[in-house]
Amino acid sequence: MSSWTADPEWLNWVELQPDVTAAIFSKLGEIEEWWTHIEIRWGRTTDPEWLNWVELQRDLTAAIFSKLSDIEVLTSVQHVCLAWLKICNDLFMWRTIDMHNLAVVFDMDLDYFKICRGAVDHSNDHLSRINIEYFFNDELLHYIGDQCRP
Amino acid sequence: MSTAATADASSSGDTTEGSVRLLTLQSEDGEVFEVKETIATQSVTIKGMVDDDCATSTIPVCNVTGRTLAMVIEWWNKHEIGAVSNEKELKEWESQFDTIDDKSDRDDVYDLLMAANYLNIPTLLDCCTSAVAEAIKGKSTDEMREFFDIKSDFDEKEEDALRKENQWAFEN
Repeated sequence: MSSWTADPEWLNWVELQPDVTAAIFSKLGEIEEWWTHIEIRWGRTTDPEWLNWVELQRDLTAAIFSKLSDIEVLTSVQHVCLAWLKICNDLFMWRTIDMHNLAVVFDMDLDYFKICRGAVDHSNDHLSRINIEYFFNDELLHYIGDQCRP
Repeated sequence: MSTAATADASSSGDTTEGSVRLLTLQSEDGEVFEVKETIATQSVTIKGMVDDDCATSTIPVCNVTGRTLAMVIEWWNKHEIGAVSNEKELKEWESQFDTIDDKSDRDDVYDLLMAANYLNIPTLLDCCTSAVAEAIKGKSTDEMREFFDIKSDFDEKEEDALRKENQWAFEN
């Protein structure tokens, strides 16, 4: 929104921030008029300049990120740009944390306890499922329990 | 009533094929496709239009180019019940969609992702999001920026702070 000017050329609804547009769409509810629905939704053109991954609809980007492991999101994906950081911080990403068998997937010398604590902190006590098979200890379980107390 | 499934639905001219209605879809760039209703209703959006009796004339698919729409129709044909004899064959066929080797694949998947979202085709959407997720895996932040042509909009301070904030992930 910071780049907003009064220049009419900027008055482009398609360029509206994805979450603002999503909020508008959510108000539409179950619209009977499919035509309206189709006109309104995301008027992308084939202009290659529009092939912009940052402007991809928020729920699509979130669907992609949800297929990645938490550690990938934490260590690289969220640093790509502000829009991706915001999506990564979105609570839903951290409702389920799956960290089982990390050592097999990542051939790095990582502190899994620290990563796990970071992920739990990220969830802002919305965590509902966690898999820490192979590396849990009492301290970690206490930490998770304390953080997720209702 | 079901007709024998064929993988080819390109027969134009007829308005019906047996008892199956044909729908006319028009892409953003004006290409017209005739598709069996039973196939096209894999799209939840189109199914809604059919159920609401809004699919009687040409259906404009305004955000999707003819090239992409042709790929979507190919997807529908393969996913019609009975079109492919076994799951393994289908998975093998799908693999052409779910791997991104270069930027041209990347652009195709982007278009398919938009089309799958717009037309609401859960199977295609799932395949495309997996493809992008696979492309992200194993890439560093800079590699991702390069691959997806994304410019960092963090200033230097923020970038430093972010790296520091997540330093814990790399500490021994």
